Amino acid sequence: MYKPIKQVLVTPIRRMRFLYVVIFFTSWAILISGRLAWLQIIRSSELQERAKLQQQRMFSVAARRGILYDRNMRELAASMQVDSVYAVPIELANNKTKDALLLSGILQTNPEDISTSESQIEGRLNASHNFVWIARKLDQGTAGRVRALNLKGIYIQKEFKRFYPGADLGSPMIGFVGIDDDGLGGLEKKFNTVLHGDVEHVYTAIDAKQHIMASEETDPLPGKSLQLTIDSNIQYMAERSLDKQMLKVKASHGSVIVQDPRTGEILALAVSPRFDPNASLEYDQDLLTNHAVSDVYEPGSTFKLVTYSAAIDAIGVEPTDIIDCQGGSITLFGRTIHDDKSDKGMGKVTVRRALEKSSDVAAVKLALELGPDKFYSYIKAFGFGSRSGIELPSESHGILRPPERWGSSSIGSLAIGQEVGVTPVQLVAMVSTIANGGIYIAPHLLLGVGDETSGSPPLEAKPYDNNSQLLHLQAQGVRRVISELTAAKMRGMMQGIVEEGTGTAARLNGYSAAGKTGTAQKYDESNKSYSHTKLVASFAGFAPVSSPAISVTVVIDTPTVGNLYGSSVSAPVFREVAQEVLEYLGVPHDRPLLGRREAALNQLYPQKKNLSGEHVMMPGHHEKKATAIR
Amino acid sequence: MATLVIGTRHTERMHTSQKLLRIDQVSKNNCEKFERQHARRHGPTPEMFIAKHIDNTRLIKADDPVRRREMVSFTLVMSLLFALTMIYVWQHFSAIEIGYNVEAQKLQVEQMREENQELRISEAELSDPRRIDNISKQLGMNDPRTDQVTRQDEANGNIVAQGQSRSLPDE
Repeated sequence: MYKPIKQVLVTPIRRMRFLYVVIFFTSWAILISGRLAWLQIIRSSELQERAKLQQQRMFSVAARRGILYDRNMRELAASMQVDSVYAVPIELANNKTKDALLLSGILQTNPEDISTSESQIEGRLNASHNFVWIARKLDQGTAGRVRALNLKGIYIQKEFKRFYPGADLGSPMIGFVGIDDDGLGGLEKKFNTVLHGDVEHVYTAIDAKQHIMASEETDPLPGKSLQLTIDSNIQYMAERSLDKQMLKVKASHGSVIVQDPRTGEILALAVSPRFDPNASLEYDQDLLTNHAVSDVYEPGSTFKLVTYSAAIDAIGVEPTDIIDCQGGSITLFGRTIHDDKSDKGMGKVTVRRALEKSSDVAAVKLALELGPDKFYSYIKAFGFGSRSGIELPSESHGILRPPERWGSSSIGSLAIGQEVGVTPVQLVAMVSTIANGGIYIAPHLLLGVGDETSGSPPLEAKPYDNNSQLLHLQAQGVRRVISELTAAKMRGMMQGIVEEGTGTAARLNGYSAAGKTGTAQKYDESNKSYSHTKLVASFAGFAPVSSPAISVTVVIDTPTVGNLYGSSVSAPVFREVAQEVLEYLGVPHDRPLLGRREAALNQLYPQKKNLSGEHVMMPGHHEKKATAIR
Repeated sequence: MATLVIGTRHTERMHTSQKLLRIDQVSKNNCEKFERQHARRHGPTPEMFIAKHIDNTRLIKADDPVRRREMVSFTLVMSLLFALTMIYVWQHFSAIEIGYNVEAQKLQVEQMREENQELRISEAELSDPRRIDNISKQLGMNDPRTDQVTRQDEANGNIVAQGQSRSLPDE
């Protein structure tokens, strides 16, 4: 068997030399290993960071903001990339003045825009060394001209700009964003954290020519998209009718809300006047206010629906019961409340007729029958005095004092819609409660949230469904307020208001309609009393009566031209909106269609009735004797 | 096999005699050179020429399978190391090139996404109800009356409502 010969160094000198070599190389290896361990293990993280700083560039890219869709997946707000110009002043050296002049010549399209003036640009260039914005979110042409200058130290950066394709369509509801893509109003503000997403950090490895070799994105979380319950077409119909009426009566502002009473979904939330969010910075704060949720006003006669509903539900009052209207006046702890002049002399009438004629006396009597606690519990159950929870910022909870803080005649005032402050959204929720059979459903605007990153199913169009079911009582924000029978009785009485009472201007063609008019005086701060000229005209109703598909409230603040009552100012808006929307939604007719001439006569008839059918709510806070306006 | 062995011995014998002959020639040649040198020399120190015979015939390169295996292994390992190094280098440069390509593709995807977004916004702008309403008014069209609206069967199309366009004599 082969055995390798073991070589033995026998010479002492050679052995030592070998040892020296071994020691040398071992020491060298130990030193190298030690150094490597020091660099690769102990200082690893620190050196990696330093390497990143040397070899990589980090860009903070704002995440694309989520899109706002209507229920049919039409874009209401979307972001698009545009060019912004920035400078690295240290690279400009002595060319700052010259560059500022060149840039200002291109960027200053509006002489009033001082931020792009030569002096302002030069000032900014002198104020910083490393980075300064010159102009942001430019159009393609302007950015192209800046790019063509090819100035050293002047760069173009992509940024997202928010676009609102519908311009002012639903603008107070949708809101707007600021220059840094943060929501500053409406849904843009309410859902800012959801829509905004996380700022994206992009690390890029740069070669010697400053070309990007490879990039590494960290936490690229674009904003989530939201699908709203709004239907753009219905929104437009509501805004068009409201704008037309606003122009006609020259009111300060107004709102129209269309709701599906079975689901609580808001189909349209129109406010006038509006602003174009594409240029929102040009408008003052008042225009940016959403009056439909922020404004609190005394509802007046429309609030009688709560009084009558509570009376029927709690103490068994029947529409056919006889109630004495006492000739149109009632005195309550020293305060006399009058019916409208036209109703003076009204004696014993049915409860139904009393509501049709909007009798204050009848409403006060029913409230007295109920008692403060019971009446208050119904008011609360209908959603007054607390926020509805609609997904809009700055929603007011209205004004509703507990019975302990009521005055002696407060119950009478509340019965006719005084000493209580409501928002149009609260009003539409109340009417929907009666329309859907007595179930309060919290109004809402959000239909779905789309998140592409989580792999959730994409958002799909959800058109209004004529056959949608009433929400179950166990659902969130749903509660029974009045019995189904009470609601049915109320619907019948409200139909009478439109057909024979104060709301005949709200009659529809081919559809039955129900509703209640209201006209309330505004409190005049200058005179410290209720104004006789500043009124809030409202109408709250639904259609068709047999199977309500939509609830609509119209509130017009301070009309100044013509008849200022709800029956003349707001009811026609209801008619126009409800007619168009029902036809658009394909709701089956429940009444025979009238021809052109018949329809015209039908519209003329209520005008005559209106002359004697409306009531003006009187001041209640100061226990003053109420007086009719006319 | 026997013939081959005899042949080999004969050849070896021939080689040996040739070598001896050559040695004699060299020795003779050296002696002649020595004589000629000696004749020319004047100093006392003679120069010595010694013929050294180196005979490596006894050295036989024996086959060493271990060594051969080691060399094969070494060659293989070195080849593998070289190949791995080359693969690593190739991979590294490929990665850089692919990095450029990926960045270009990313940019393209982003551009197309952006273009798509712009088109969707344009579509939304063009289908804005207010715009359509204004254009229809400019074209002299009116809102259809309730009795003019004909609903299509919901199941067979997206047309929700259709207005019957006709002049209104009493307007």
